[in-house]
Amino acid sequence: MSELVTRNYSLVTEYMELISILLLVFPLLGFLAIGLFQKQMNRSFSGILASSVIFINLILAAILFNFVSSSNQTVETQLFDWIKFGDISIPMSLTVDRLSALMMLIVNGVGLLIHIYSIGYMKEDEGVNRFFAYMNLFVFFMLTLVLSSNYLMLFIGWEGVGLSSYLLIGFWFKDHVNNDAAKKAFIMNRIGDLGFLLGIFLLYSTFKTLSISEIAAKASLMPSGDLTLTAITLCLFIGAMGKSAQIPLFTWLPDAMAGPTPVSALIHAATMVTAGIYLIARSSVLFVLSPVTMNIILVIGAATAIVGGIIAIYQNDIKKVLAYSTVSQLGFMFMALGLGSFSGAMFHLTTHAFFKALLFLSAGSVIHALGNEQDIRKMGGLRKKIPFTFALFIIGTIAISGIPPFAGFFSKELILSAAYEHGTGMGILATAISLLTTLYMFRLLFVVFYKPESKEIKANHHIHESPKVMLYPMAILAILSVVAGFVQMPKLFSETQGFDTFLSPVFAKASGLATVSGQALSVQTEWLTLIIPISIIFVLIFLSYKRFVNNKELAVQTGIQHVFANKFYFDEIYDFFLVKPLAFISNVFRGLLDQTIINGFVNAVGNGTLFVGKRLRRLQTGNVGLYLIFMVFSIIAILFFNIIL
Amino acid sequence: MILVLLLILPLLSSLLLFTGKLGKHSKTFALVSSLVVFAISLVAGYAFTFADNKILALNLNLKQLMDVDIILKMDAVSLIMVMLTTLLVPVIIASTAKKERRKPNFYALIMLMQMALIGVFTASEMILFYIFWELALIPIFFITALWGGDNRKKISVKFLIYTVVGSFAMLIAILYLYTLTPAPHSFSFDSFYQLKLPYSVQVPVFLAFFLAFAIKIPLFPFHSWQAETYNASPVQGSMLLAGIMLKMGLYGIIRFILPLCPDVVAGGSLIFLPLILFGVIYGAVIAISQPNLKKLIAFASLSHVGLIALGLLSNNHYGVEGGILQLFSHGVNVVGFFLCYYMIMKRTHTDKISDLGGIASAAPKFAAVFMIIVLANISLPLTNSFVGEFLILLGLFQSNMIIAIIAGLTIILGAVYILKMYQKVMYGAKSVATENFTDLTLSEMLVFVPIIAMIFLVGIFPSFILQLLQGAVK
Repeated sequence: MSELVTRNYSLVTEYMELISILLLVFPLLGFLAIGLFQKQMNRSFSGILASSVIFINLILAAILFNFVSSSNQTVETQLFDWIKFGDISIPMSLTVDRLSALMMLIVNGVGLLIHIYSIGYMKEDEGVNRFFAYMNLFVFFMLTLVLSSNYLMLFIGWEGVGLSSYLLIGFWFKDHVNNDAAKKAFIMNRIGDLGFLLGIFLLYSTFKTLSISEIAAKASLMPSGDLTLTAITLCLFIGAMGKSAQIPLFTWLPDAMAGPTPVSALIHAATMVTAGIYLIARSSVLFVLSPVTMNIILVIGAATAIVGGIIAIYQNDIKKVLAYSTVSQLGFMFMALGLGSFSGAMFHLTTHAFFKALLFLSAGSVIHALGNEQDIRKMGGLRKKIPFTFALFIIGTIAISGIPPFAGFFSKELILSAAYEHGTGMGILATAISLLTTLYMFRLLFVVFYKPESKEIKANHHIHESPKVMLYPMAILAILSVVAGFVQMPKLFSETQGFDTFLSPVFAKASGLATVSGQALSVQTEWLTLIIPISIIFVLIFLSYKRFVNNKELAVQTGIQHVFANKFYFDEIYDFFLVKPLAFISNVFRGLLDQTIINGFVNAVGNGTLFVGKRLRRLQTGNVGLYLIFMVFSIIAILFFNIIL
Repeated sequence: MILVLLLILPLLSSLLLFTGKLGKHSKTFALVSSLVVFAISLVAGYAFTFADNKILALNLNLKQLMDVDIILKMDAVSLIMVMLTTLLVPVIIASTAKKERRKPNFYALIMLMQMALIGVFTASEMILFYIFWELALIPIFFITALWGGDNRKKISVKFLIYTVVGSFAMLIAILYLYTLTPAPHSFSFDSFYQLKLPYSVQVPVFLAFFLAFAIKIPLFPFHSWQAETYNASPVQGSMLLAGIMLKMGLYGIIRFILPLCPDVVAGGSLIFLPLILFGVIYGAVIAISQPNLKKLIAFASLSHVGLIALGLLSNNHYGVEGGILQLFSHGVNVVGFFLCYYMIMKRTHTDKISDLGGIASAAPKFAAVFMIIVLANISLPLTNSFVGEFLILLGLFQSNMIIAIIAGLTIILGAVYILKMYQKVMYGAKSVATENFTDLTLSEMLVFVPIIAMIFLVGIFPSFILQLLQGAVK
């Protein structure tokens, strides 16, 4: 009897292993099929093929998700040895636990909706086949990142998503503005990647393995505050800063909006940019043992959230507002990580994936309707012209602003309560940061949809609602943005902490090691932390309505607002301190050092030899007497030297 | 026996080509014979994997005739170098465009070069090694001097003299070591390895060998012939140089410096590593502002081979294995890079980066191929050079953290110059030069197949090479 059970059991595990492999195989095949047969493939077929691939993947992911959440085991799959000789062994192997299962669902779920949306959005583009090939490639690398069971394989996915991001940002490569943005994204990410790579070297030198689970087991025996651990976690965090656009490596993300809008939704909002959060959550044990790093993460996260939020308020490009909003929200997630609330960060990552994807797709729908107009000053009054998009945009706005009972409320609440447990000051700061969201989102909403129509809108008679193939995926995201929060109610309302409990096995080791500093909040405080922010939100909404709906023009920027609108001059500072000096050094090396000095020296030696040769040639006069004189003098000289020495 | 075949075949086909009787079939003949040599090297590889002691050896005792032993040996390192040679030579021969109508002598020189290179990589006796080492110079000298571009004569003479000066230092070291071997003296590698030199002797021996190899590789500041020679050479010559011949210097480090001067290598990380390290960064930084595509490849290459030298001299077995693997990968990648250059040059007759642009929309196949090769050059994971560079940097990291961190900057700098170049050449609007750019033809695609296959094969399954090397590195 028991034998039968074991056999069944192992059979199921084998199926699960197979499924985890297929999850990678399908998008890779999709990429190859569409990529290799770009020319032959019908333009309307590639989107359907790419979407079907992700659809199958979603089903597979759901099966795996169901398995790991019901059985509470992890699925470990060995593929093959990648780097193996002597004492080093880095396999290609996959791990599906609850954390990766959750990410898989998000990547494939949101990915599928965005793929379908793109069928409509990219319909007219001549490079549509290339587009879908890259999209499948992205999903392949993202799943590699999420599923890998060691840090080096994770790095494959990490750089791979960077590559797909590069290719998709510069998708319209005839325009160098797009190419510059793509290049910038790749290079800034590479700065982070170097940090990540150094972290990997440190990990390998310390633990003699790169397996994530083995490292976690070995690290958990180390003392908190260990210097090596601090160095490792700082290196990994540098990697995360690049990928997840944190200060100082965030300026590539707003530029990345040069890519097609579905790309912004999938890669630069919902999935890839959250890889840094995933990496840190994945390495929770290491980070919990490095309080210094945790504090740095907290500070950088908070600073990024504030800076991103403020800049967002002063942007006039609909996608840029959303991009800085993403920067800010990512900063908020890093704050959660810094506070030790790994599940809070992951929860906000999840809900954010839904409503930010929804907002981007709605923005795409607006841009589509207006014939590629992104400047919000040229919009206004669109609520009547494109009512469905408007309704969906409103849902996204409410969700991201943290108004109950939409999803953003619950995930922010989880992070805010972690902040209040850390200390009242931190709680208030976190609340203030979350209020920034209301400011820039409702400004955007009012200016685009409520403000009296601009003259461009009045003149434009081609404004049309997007096709259903675009609206349906948005509607599904809207539903998710409404209901996704209910899996995790605030402690006041519910005993069951769905999301927290679900991920608790993943973070069990980390929370066991965490130095408990927080104190539980009293019921009164909890109520206050709920009610006060919500009331402020409504006040802010009222104020922005007053300010933006009735004003015909957006106010001219003055003083400090200039600094905000110009993103604190980060790009100019980098240009002055990094880009220009590098170009200068390059020219100096090339022109002065290499050409003049080094090559000049070598040529001088050559010419010198020729010169001396020419002079010496004159000695060969054929006059034997002269030769004899030389000989005698030379012999005397040799004897002389011999005596001296 | 196989080793003799590997040497004799290229030699015979070279001689046959020199007669000029093959006329316009010369290219086909050279291609076929180089493919046969490749097949033989595969057999050698197969035989090697099943040989008990992981060594293929041949010992012709010619004492009666001329007081010299001809000893050829193939261990894992030799095997990899020979495979690199036999794999790349057919690619290089196949790449010559039909309309360029190279004379039979051109192919004869390439085959002669192949013979000399295989000789360098399999010789296990110093005199033999030295003869092959110098012999390899002759064909490339003529290829550059006869078929090169502007200033070809002056530059090829400079190149010749420069490397011969280095070789001379090596020759002195070899003769000196010979006198140290127990009587009756011997030039065989094995008798050299058994010397166990004291530190005071290791230092001058190291310096002599290092000078020879540093010029050949080349390492900063001995590199000034490189960009010039690449630029003046016909592209096949650049490929032979960059892909295979310059690897002789790195091979020399593995063969002589590591076994003969272990104490210098172990203690020298503060003396010569910083110099090489500077060259690594230097090459990458110069590549950023390089306006000429061929010279850009030269400086990128300077940076890459410097990194390999750092790995080999890192005194750490990860670094050494990574270095050897990267030796192979870099050979493949740089030839791929030159091929892409050649495709552009053939069509546009310019290699000024600023004159190009917009090629990607005209030639999507070429854009994809070029992209893969470019990504391999910046060692993206799953391409061949990632594994090598990872191991090199890991080895460096364990022996000297600071050097590893600075060397790691090439990861960023590489992305800067490569993406900048690719953008200017391939993206944007079409220029006058690229207006009528045609996509790759089928035969051109075929030339790229081995390159791209190796990029992914080694990138995804590097272990088969790494495990082969295991014994040799120890």
